[in-house]
Amino acid sequence: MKRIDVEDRVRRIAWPEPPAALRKRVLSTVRFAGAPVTWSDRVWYSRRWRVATAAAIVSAIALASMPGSDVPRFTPLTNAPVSQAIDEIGNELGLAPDLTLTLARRAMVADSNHPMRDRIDVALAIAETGRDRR
Amino acid sequence: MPSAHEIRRDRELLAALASGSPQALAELYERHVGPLFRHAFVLTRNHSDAEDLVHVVFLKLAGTGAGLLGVREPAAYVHRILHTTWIDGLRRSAAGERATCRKDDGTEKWVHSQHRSVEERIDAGRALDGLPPAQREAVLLHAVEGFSFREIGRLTGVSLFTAAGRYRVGIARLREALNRESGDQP
Repeated sequence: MKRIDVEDRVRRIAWPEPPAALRKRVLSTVRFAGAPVTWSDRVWYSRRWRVATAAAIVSAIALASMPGSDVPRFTPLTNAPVSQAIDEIGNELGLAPDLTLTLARRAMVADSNHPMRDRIDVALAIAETGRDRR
Repeated sequence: MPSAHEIRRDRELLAALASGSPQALAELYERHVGPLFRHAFVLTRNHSDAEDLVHVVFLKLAGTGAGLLGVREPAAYVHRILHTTWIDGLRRSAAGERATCRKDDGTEKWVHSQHRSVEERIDAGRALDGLPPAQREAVLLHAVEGFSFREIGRLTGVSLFTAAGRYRVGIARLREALNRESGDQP
């Protein structure tokens, strides 16, 4: 017996039919959802609306990334780890916070070709501001 | 498998049901109760349990509300409700044996004498009865209801490959059983 024969036999099983009373039972006992469907529901569940929103976002990003665009570029904030690292090194060495900052600044100035120079500069400024607030 | 037109109609009915239309529920019932009842019967192997299961499916469907607007594949959706309701019932029952070990007390045979020959009467139904519920379900949903393995996987909460594997093993075991019974015949 081949697989197709088995499938055929399964299809020809006399499957039971639902009783007529079930229809009455379902329709008489059912409770519909209380809240009516609102306009916002229709928008939220609309596939067209979702596709249009996604397309609009992609278009905006594409326009912003084109050369000559006035929209400021997105730059990830990566200074926090540098600032934190400077603080941690200072603490480990037992240096005063001001001394740590001074040493870090000197190191940065001495190594003017450091690829992170701009970021370290900003990080130092952030660290100083934070310390002032404390 | 439902045609594109049927799917569109089902979506319209679900949208109407979300707004609380009894007519939409009645039409959805007429369109889906047959396959749902077969599915329920394959899982429970008992008429009254199958009725209860189908009843709960329509209660849940009517109570869903605006979420029905987001349904893309209505047929698979109602079968998924049935499957999850059955699983919930199993979990709630103390030993989880309500649907799997009823042979002695509540199992009803679904094969009657409507087949054409004696050989066919002995029976695909009985052979199917010997399969585990997951394999019975996969066999019914694919061979009888026409769902793809991907859809079966989605509606039973397993991967496409698991659904296909269940079907393949189920069919192989059915074939063994039918061959064995055919061999016993004079």
